[in-house]
Amino acid sequence: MRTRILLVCLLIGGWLTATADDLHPRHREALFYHLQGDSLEAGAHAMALQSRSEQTDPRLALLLAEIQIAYSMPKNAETTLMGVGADQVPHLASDLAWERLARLAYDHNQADLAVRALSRLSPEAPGTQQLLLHALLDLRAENPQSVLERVGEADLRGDSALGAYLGFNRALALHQVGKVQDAVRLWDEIATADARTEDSAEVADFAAFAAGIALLQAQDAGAAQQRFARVRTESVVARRAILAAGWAAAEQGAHRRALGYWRLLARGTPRDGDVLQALLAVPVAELELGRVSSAQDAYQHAIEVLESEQNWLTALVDGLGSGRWTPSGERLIPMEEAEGAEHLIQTLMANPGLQAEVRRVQELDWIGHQLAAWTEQLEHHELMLRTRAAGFDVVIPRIAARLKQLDLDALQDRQTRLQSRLSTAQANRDHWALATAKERSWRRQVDDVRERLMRMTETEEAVVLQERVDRLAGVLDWQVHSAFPQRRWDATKGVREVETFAIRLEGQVQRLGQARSTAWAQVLDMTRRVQDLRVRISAQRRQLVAISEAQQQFLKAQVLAELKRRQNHTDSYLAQARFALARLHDRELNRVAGR
Amino acid sequence: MSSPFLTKVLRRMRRLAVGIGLVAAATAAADEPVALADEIESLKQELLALNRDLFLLEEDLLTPTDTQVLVFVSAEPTDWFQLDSVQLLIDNKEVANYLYTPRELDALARGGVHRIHRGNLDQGAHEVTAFFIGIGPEGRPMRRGATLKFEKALGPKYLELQMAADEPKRQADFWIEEW
Repeated sequence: MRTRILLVCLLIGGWLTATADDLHPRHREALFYHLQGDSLEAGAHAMALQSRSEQTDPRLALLLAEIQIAYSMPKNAETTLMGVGADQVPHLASDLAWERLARLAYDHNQADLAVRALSRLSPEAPGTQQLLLHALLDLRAENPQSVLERVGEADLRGDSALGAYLGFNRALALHQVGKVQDAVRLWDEIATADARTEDSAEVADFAAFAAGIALLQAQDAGAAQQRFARVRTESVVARRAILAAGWAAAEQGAHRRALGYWRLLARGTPRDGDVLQALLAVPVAELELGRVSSAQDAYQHAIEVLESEQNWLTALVDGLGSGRWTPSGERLIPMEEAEGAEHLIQTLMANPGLQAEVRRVQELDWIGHQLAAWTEQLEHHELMLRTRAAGFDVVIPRIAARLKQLDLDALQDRQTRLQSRLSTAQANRDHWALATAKERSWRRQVDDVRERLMRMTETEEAVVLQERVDRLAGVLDWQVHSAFPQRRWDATKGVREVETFAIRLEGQVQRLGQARSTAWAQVLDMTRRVQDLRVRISAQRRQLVAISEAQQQFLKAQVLAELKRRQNHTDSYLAQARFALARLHDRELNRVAGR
Repeated sequence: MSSPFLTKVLRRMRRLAVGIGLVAAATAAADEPVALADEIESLKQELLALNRDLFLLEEDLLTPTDTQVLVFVSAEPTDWFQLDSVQLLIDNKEVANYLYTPRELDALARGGVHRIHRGNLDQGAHEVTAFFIGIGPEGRPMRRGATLKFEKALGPKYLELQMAADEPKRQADFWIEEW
């Protein structure tokens, strides 16, 4: 199961990443949260982006579907994927949508939907994944022949993990139609292939184990044992492989070796079914070795372990049944505090169904905290809006007063006049139009002296003075003339700056005017949104209480059923052990009496 | 050896082997009332919608689109630089200093981007400077910067601080992109 999920993540995640370069950062921000397992944040970001975009990006919809699947929302994911598949989108996107939908449907036992989704795939869709899904569906429908017709040897090449998984299922189909040797050959190929990823290594472990079981059933214990030895110690099937290796050894008469395997396994926790089986297998091997006393001790030990396990299970069942330990919203399973409860949780978590239920309780618990946090957040927003409204009371009249004072027309008139003066000075090359105040003052003084000299009697002294004044006027003219280009540039720049300022001011005035008219509307709109959200959150909190209660009751019933199932197993093992021990005692008594 | 116990074990094993292919379809959840699962899914759907609306409200309230500026970090994995943190300055004022967790770095390496800053800026010219702090070749601490001058107009402004491998130069490259 994990393998398949990983493969899907690789395929869709890889595609998203591969095409991520042209994705808007907001889109990849949703991906960032999704990749960290924060579905709530990822979903909110993706949905916010969807609500803002005018066009639907199929990649965003596919990401949303992945988020919904990760957040255990299969029905929503189904709708999203159907939407992508039905849209006019590129083949790559629609094929990914249909293929993902087929997997989702398969995971939720909706074979018809899975088949329908597969039928919508384009001819360009990658073949291995389709074949794998078809094979899984055929196997579930107990139709191995169809798997063999669909999946040929050639299809098993290509992607290593996917190909190996497909090959595993083909071998399973071969086994189911009675072609044991062919099945074992294929499983062997998978088990001995170079596993480059953890996924491939896991499939290889399963293949080795399955080949071993098939060979054990076919009475070829020696070959079976070789296959069990290939299973890695860290594999999920490692303990079962050890147990089976013991039986394979026993089948070959190598009871000492079998005893070694089972003793190794029997040291594990009794919460593990394989360990309990090993406990009962140890005395069988001891008997085969003719060590009756050791066998009696081993049975005695098994009985003690099983009795202790039985007492522990009975206490837990009674505790749950009597309501002494009732699930609450605050804890995963309130029995955590009970003696040995941590082992129970470990054991229960090994069951995928219960795992999902416990995860749901945790999720609901977390949702409760989240809703409380959002309520608090909304209180902050409300406070912010109140403060903002109070600020507007002060600021808006002030803005209005300032806007009244601003005479944009006068500013524009001045700027136009300046521009006109500058243009005239440029056209007429009127250098004195850009002269400084001091230069003008000097010029006035020179003109004044010149006028006074004109009025004087024409003497030699007056002529000299006249010449000096003319020289001064000439120097002044030259100065103003030579400074003109720079002054013209500065003046042009200044006029342009005034123009820019006037335009910016006009924009600001417009925005201020707009803000003044919309500020209250915005505050009111946001206040309404806050209130609306508060109402929705309150409704959710009420609904959550009811759902949490129902979910906890359901989980309690499931836990009880699981515990009772374990009780029955333990009872059965205990009866077997007691019966075997009693028979041994009888045999010994008879042997002694016979002497 | 043909003990009944072995037969039982083998039967269990065979079931397991078949189960491998069929992927353990039988679980405790199979008996779950459909209504409860549907109710939980509907609750989650509303929860996502609520979170979306809260997120939009928060953005409208704190960073209205006219003045909004969002700065993101993307980091392609490279052998020449291992990112630890990013320091962000806007107009020479530090606005963010973020230390990444391994989980976040993994998400960045797989194509996600992290929003390091959400704030408001007036219209006009601004300058953004980012420092990428981490471990360089041979385990040496490294601090590399990138600067961008940009114009803020009306409407949101998106900036992306990027880091990627420059294979020919055998080094990491750092730059800032406007969206």
